[in-house]
Amino acid sequence: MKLLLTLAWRNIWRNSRRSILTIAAVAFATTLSIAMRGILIGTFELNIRNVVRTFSGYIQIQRVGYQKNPSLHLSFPYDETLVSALSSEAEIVAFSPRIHADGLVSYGDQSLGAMVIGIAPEGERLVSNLDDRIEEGSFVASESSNDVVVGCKLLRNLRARVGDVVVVLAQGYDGSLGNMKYRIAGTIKTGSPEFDRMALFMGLSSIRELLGMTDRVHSVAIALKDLDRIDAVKERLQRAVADPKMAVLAWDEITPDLKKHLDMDQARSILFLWVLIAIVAFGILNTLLMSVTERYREFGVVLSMGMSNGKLAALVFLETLFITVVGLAAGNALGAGMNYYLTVQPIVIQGVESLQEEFGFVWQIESSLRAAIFVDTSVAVLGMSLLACIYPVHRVRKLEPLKGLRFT
Amino acid sequence: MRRTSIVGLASSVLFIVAFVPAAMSQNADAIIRRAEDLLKGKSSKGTFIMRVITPEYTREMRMESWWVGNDKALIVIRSPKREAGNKTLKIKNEIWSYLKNTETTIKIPPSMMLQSWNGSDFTNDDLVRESSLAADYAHKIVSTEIVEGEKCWKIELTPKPEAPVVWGKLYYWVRQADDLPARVEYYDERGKLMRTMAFSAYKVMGGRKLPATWTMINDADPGHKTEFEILDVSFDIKISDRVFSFQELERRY
Amino acid sequence: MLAKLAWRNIWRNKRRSLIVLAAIVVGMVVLVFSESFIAGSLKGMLDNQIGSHTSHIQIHRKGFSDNKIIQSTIPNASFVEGVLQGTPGVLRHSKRVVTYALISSASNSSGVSLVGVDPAQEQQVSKIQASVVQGSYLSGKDHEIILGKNLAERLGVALGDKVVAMASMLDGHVGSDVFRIVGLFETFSSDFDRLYVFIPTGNAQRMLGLGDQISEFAVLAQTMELVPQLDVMLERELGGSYEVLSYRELLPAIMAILDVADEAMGIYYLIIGAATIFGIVNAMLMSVFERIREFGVLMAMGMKNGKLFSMIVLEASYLGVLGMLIGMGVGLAIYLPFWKYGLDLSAFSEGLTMVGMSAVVYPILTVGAVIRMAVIIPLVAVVAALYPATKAIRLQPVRAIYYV
Repeated sequence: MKLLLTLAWRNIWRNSRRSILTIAAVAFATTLSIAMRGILIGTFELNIRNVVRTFSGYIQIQRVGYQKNPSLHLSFPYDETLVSALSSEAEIVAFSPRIHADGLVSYGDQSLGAMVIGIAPEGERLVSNLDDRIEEGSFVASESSNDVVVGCKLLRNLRARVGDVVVVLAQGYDGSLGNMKYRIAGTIKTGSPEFDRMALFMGLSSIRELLGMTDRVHSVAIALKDLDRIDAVKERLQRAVADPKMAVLAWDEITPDLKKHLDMDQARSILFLWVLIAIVAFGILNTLLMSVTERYREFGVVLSMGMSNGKLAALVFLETLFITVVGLAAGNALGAGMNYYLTVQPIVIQGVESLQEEFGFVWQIESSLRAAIFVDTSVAVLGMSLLACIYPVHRVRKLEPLKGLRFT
Repeated sequence: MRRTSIVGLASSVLFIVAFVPAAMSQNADAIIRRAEDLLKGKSSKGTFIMRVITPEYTREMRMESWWVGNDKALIVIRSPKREAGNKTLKIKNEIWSYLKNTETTIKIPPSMMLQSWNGSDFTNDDLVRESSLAADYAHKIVSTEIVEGEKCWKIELTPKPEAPVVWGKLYYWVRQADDLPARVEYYDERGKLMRTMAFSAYKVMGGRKLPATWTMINDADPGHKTEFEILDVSFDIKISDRVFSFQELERRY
Repeated sequence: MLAKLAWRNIWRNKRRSLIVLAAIVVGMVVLVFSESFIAGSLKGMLDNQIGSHTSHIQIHRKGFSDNKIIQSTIPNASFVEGVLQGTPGVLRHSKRVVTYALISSASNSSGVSLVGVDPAQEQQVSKIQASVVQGSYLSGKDHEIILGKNLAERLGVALGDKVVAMASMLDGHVGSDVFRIVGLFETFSSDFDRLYVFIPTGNAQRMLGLGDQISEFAVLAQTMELVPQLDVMLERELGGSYEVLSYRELLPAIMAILDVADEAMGIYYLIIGAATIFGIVNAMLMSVFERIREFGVLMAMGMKNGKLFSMIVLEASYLGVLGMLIGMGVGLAIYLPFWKYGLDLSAFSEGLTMVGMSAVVYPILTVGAVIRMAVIIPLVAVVAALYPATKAIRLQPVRAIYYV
């Protein structure tokens, strides 16, 4: 056995050119698959991160039924128990409570419908990127400051400017029409036409005063360390909250349309991955076939010198194995290098940088260094190689020495 | 002889079938109109308490109101302090709200028409739409029933096909003794009872007999109801148009 | 003479040539597939987004998209019609009344965009009719309304029930009207389903006191590619009191997402292309190197370097072209059934929550793409042969014969 191994190894390097071409086929297959899978996963995760940072967060806690039919009274207390449950969950990076109300904002003789949203600025900054999208002025100063941030189109339609004082009206918790004056601290551009035309942000304490709400909120948005943890954290939170009237929703339940986009993307990408696999597998098959058949004369000599077909087949098989392993090593290294490069230096899509400012989205081709990519690909390529060598090895087993010698 | 009497019979049947329902529905129309008129009068001025009752809380507000027919109304909140000075002005189909806190007058846009008026089980739309019972519905007396010990006509109101109302059907009970409304029930098109307006505590006020307590029960949301208790009222007095002006609206009380 | 030799050479060693040929054919098929699917996907995505309602171009009074008040009506509808008739590239258009309204049922109410359309005209421009899942599309009779299935659920109403719409009229009063639900639709976007309701134009105009005014022209261009220049042309023709918006300007966030998807697919195509090219190069390299002994013999027999080089290159080009043609044939054979029936993407992703139609991709193969591939593939084969060919002729014949 040891003899066969040494022989196999030496054989490979005897005809280095041929072996290198075969190794290259395996390496290339590995590298490209790793690169593609990396981009697939990286971009998918990037997309999700973009979406959740816009406003929804990775997870939200709400009253059951609020998502489908939001109403002012479908609220819950944002109390010590909830806060401590959230703080003690290790995977949670930040959380931010919100209050929503339908209202009117009035300036001069303009009265326009507004989505009034109460937030806690410090926590909000860590969960969403609203404060990055301030176009003019500044974000809401604090929970209790008397200032508001309005959507850029809303500001224009009101014919107001940053610094002006507006009246915000909303039906309060007890039904009375809450009304108070606020200063416009800044204006925000989210890229979502609905937000830009109707959103009005104010501090949590301010909106509580306006609506006559106590310590209740409508939702708590949560940012996690990692996308993978969403399901696990969701489950843990549901148990921690332990209230059948409360729901813990993942981002895709909150923005189902965006999930559809990403799903489509994913499906398409997987289709192309299969195409890639088809062609690289074929490449390995082709190369292996050629490299084995080109050596029939050599095999003929060896066979006529007395080596058994079985031993020869085993030898060829071992050579294929070694070549594959070397190819995998090279391919993984190269693939890792490419993926790593893309993670630290993503390809920014040309022509879309301006949109980046517009929407605060990060549009780039990213990659991922997840172990699964490398393991899966290597196993797949190994499988391809072994499958590919079945026919050639079989031919070798059946090879007659004289036929081999005279092979062209 | 027999023949003529058959013709006579036939024509009297025809007469009855053709005209009596019309007469009856005219009757129903008139009954409802009278009932509504008795509640309102040509004009009225009064003070009342509105109680909003929910499973979570009960809220009481004291208000003053001026009405001229179904066209103009001004309602001013006197208490509690948080809302005292807030006013609602209705002119025909439109409503304006004056909010004392910010000294703003806003016209209630369509987006807020279906929001509750001052937290009650009435919507802004209810306030302007009262007047449309006659125009939007076909009336028919269906029976007589006893409500709270009083014999009443039970009148079925079916929305005319082009009427912009969400209800499928209304039942309106009017007391035969004094022609005053006893109860109104609002149903959706599937026959589910959505809300009930119950009148009670009949007494003489401002020279007329009328129910002192009006209760709107929200049947779709159990535990929710709004009660109006009339404290005092005067009818058919002269109310100057100035009362329903914007200057008056914006005057701080 | 050389040409004949080159051709015969190919068939002399069938196995070797077949392997190279196979690499080229497979490569070609893969490229045809990828190219057509990417093109088809992009078109499919766009169609999903803009086909339901947005259409290619919308025309309004200037300022409408910022503040959609009812008073912002089209200044002169017949003027716009005239311009549209006279502009080449415009396929069809429809007129709409658009305003914010409140839809209410006995149990609930919701803010929506109320759209008044002429069903016959509208069906030619948008595809809502295809998304109707219960009941039917508008027939043009008064008091009919269609709305999204999820909106109906929210309002607690079903097919045949009535709803009341309330909106600001032109003169500032509040107008309202009652409608019967004749159809429920479900599109690609659940947001759209929740926010848009459709009624007949006449109804809308009467309810809002508009007379015969409208708010919007929805325009369909003959092809997607024409849209940008059509946008510019119409803007110029219509002048400053109108705003002409292409689907890009109407749905900027969606377009951004699609652009990224486009780029991502471009990268995938690059990777697949690289794999294809590598496959061909590898096969060609190996094949030529394996024949160096044979070339050595030829050179020893007196063949000039130049002639040998040409022969090798010719053989490579024959294989290239032949492989390309066969590959094209096979590729088309695979493409055509998909072109007709589409490829259902839900096979590739569990949890793909799609509404039927939109998960199917119809590949598109353009003449340009075909020409591009037909040129590149044989080129790759030839270029791949150059290196080993050069190596071969550089060797001394004796060396070549002993080449291993």
